[in-house]
Amino acid sequence: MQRHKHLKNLFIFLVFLFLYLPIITLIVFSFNTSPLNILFEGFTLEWYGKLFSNTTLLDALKNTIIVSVVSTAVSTFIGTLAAIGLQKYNFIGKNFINKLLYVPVVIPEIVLGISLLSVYTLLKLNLGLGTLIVSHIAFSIPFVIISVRTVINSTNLQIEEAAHDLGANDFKTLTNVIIPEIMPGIISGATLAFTLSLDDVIISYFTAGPGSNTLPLQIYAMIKTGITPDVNALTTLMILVIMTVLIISSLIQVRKMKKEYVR
Amino acid sequence: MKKVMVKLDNVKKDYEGKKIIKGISLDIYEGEFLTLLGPSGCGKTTLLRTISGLEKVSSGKIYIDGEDVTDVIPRKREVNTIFQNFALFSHMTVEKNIGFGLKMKKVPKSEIKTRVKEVIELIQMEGFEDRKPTQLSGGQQQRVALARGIVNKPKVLLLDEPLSSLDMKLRKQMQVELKRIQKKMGITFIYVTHDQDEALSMSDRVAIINNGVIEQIDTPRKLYDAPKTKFVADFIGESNQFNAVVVSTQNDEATIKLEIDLEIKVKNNHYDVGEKLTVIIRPEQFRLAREKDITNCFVVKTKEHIYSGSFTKVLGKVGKKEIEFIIYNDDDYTKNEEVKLKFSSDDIVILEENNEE
Amino acid sequence: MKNKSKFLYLSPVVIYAIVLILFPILYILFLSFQTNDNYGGIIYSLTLNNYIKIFDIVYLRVLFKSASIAFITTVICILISYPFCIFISEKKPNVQKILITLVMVPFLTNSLIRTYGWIVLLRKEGVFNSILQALNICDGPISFMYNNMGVFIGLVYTLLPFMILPVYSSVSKIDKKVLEASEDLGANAYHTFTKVILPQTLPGIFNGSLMVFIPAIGMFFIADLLGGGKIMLVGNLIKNQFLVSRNWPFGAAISIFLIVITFLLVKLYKKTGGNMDDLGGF
Repeated sequence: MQRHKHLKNLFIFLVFLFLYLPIITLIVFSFNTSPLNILFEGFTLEWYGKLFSNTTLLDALKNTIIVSVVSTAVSTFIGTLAAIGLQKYNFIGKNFINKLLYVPVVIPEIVLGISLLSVYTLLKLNLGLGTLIVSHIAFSIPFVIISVRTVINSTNLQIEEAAHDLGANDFKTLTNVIIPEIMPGIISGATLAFTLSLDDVIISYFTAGPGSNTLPLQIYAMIKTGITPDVNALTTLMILVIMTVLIISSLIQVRKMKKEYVR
Repeated sequence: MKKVMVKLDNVKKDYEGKKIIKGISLDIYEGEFLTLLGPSGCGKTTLLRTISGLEKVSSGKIYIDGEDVTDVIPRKREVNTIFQNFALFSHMTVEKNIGFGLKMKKVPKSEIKTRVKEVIELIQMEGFEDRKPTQLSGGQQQRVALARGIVNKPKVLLLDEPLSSLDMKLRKQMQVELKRIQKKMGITFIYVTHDQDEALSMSDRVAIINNGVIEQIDTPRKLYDAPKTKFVADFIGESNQFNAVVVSTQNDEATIKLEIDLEIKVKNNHYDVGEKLTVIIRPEQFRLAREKDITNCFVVKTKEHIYSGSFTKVLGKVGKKEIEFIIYNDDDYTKNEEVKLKFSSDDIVILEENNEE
Repeated sequence: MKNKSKFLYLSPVVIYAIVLILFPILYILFLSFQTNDNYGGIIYSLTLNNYIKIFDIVYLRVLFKSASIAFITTVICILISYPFCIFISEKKPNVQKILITLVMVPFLTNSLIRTYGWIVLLRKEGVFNSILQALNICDGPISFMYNNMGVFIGLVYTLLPFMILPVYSSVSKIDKKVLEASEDLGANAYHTFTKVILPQTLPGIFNGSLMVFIPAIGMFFIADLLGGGKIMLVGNLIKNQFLVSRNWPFGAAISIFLIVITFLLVKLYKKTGGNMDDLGGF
C-alpha cells in the first residue's frame, strides 16, 4: 500500500493546487499596488479602503446576503416540515410529489431558471429581490428535504411513540424530541441551501431584475467591462469569513468528539 | 380478591382487512407480572400497543384501573412502554431522558431531580447521568429505558421484547434485574416476548397467544404440566404428541389406541368409545422399563444420543413415529439399539378433540 | 386533529412542488409548441416547428459540440478524482476528513469569483504568460483561454468536487479486509482492481458523472467568460433564445429536449442501482 508514496502525495498536492490556485491568485492580487491584476508590484491595503466606498459592490453584497439568508430560512423550514411529513403520512399523489422534488436536483439549472422566468413573465411579476428569493427557495428545498430525510431514515422512529407514551403532546414531541434528534440533518440542509444560494449564478441571472443585482451578477457584468481590484479585496474578505466559520465549527466538533471520547 | 388493573373486553384489531387480534378478553391484576408469549406475528405486540394506546382497537373495550380508556390517547393513559430497541432520545443525557416524562407532566424541577436520582440508584447507574445514550452499552441503554418508564410510577408498565437485542448472558442478568425492580416497585408489568425461557422464569402468569387469540393463560408451571391445547404443549417445552382413539372404557380406566398401533391404559375421563384424543408425553416423563410384560410400554428404536451434562436426550422411532425422551445419566443405561420405555398415566396429558378448534 | 397536522406538514411542500416545479415545466412545455412573433411575443398555435428546428444542422452541431465537451469534462473529472480519492483513502481517517473538507472549501466561494480567478491566471497578459515570458520559455503569449482549453479548465474546475465527493464516499466504503481477502485468495493487483474495487466504486462514478455531465451542458457563463463567446454550449443557446433573439418558444423546446435527455440519463442511473438521494446529498 505504501508504494510510490511520494508520487501519490505529489498527485494529491497538484489537485489541491488546481483547486486553490484561482483563490490564492485573487487573495494575492488584493494586496497588489497595480490595479491591473497582471504582475505583483507591491503591497497595499488601498483596495480594502476603496471597497467600502464602492456602493454598487456593497449593494450587491447586501442583496446576496438578503437573498441567501431569507431563502435559506424559508427553504429550511418548508423542507424540514416536508421531510417529516413525507415520512409520516401517506396521501394520494405522494409518489408524484416525491418524483417532482428530484426535478430541481437533476435538471440543468438553466432550465429551471428560464422556466421560472417564463412563469414570472406570465404572471406579470416585476423581477427583483422577491422573484430572486422565490427562485432560490425553489432550487434549495429539495436539497434540504434530502439532507433531513437521510437523517430521519437513520433515526429510530419509535422515539416519536416513546415521547407520546411519556406524555408529550404533538407539538412538544416535535420541538423537544424530533427536531433536536434530526438537527444534524437540518443543519447540513441549511448549510447546503445557503452555499447553493451564495454560489448560484445561472438561476439568478434569469430571475433577478434591475436593482436586485447580487454579487455574482455584479461580478459577471464587471468581468465584461473591467474588474477593479476592490473585487479581489471583497473576495478575500469573504474567503476569510468562510474559513473562520469552518475552522470554528470544526474546532467545536473536535472538542465535542474529544469530550465524548474521554469517557 | 385481587384488584383488576387492566381489563381487556373482547378486543379486536383489524389491519388492512387482516384480523390481527380476534377477540381477546383478559384480566390483569395489580402488581402482577404477566407475559404475552407467542410466535412472531401472533398479535402479541399489537395487543400490547392497544393497551398503551399507540394502536387503536377495531372493537372491544380496554379498562385501566376500572376506567374505560378505549378512546383515550396514549399520553393521557397512566401506562408507559419500554420499546424493543429502547427508543432513547439520543440528543438527551441519561438524566434528561429519564426526566422527560415528568417534565412533560410539568412536575416541579426539584421533584424531577430527586425522583430521577432515585431510579438511577435503583437501576445502579450512578455516575452516568451526563452521558448520552450512544456512550452506553446495550445493557446500560436497557436500564435507562426501563428507568425512563418507571420513574413516572405508571399503573402499568408495558415491555415490548425489551431484552431481544441483548446477548445471552446480559439477557439472563437483566431478567433477574427486571424481576427485582418489578417486585420493589410493585408496578403491574405486561411483558411481550417470543422467548419461552424468559416468559417461564419471570412471569406470575403467561398468556399464550397464537393467531390473534389466547390459547391458554396460566402460571408457568400449569402451562407446562397441563397444557390445554396441542399448540401450547408444543410451544412450551418439548412434547411427543400422539393421535389416539378410545377402544373401550371400564369404570375408572380406559383403553386407548395410539396411532403407532399401541394400546395403553389411562384414567377414564367420561370418554366415549370411538372418541378421538391427543396424548401428550413429555420427553422426561418416559422411564426406562426393566420389568417384562407391562402395560403402557413403548419399544423404541434409538437413532441418536445427544449428551447434555446431567441427562442425555435420545431421538428414536416407534414404528414410523419419531419420538424423543430423556435418560438421566445416573441411570444405569448403556446405549442400545432398542429400549423399552414406560410412563405413568398420572403424569401425561390427554386432550379431547373438542378442545381444539 | 391528525388531519390538521398532516395538512400543516404537507401543504407547503405540495404547493411548492406544484407551483414552483410542475407548473413552470408544464408552462415551458406549452411554450415550446407556440410560435415566435419576431418581437419577443408569442403567437398561440400548436406547432412542432420548434422541435423540428432543433434538428437543423446548425443547432445539431451545437448539441453535439456541447455533449462532447460535457463528456470530455466528465472523463477528465473521473481521471483526476479516481486516483485522488484512492490515494486519500489510504491516509489516516482524521487526515482524510481534513482533506475532504479542504476539497469543499473553494466550493463555498462563488463559482463566478473563482472563474474570474482563472481569467487573471490564463489571459494573454495574465499570470501564467507573464511567468512564462519572464523565464523566457516562449516568445509570444500562449492562448490558454478564449478557446476549448479555457472552457475545459473552467468546467473541470467548477465541477470537479461533484465528482470527488461521490467517488470518495464509494471508495471509502470499501472494506480493507475485502482487499486483503482478495489478495489472500490469490488475486493480483490488476484483478483486485477490476473484480473488487471497480465494481464497488462504479455507483459513485455513475453518480459523479451525472452530477458533472448535466450541469456541464448548461454552464453558459463558463463558455462566455473562458471561451470568449466563440464556444456555444446548449446553455448559451437557450440563454440567447430567451435574452438575445427573444425566441422563447424555441428556447423552451430546447429546454424540454434537455429535460428529456436528463430523465433518460437518470433512468439509466437508477437502472444501474443508483440511489436518487445520493444525487442531492453532499
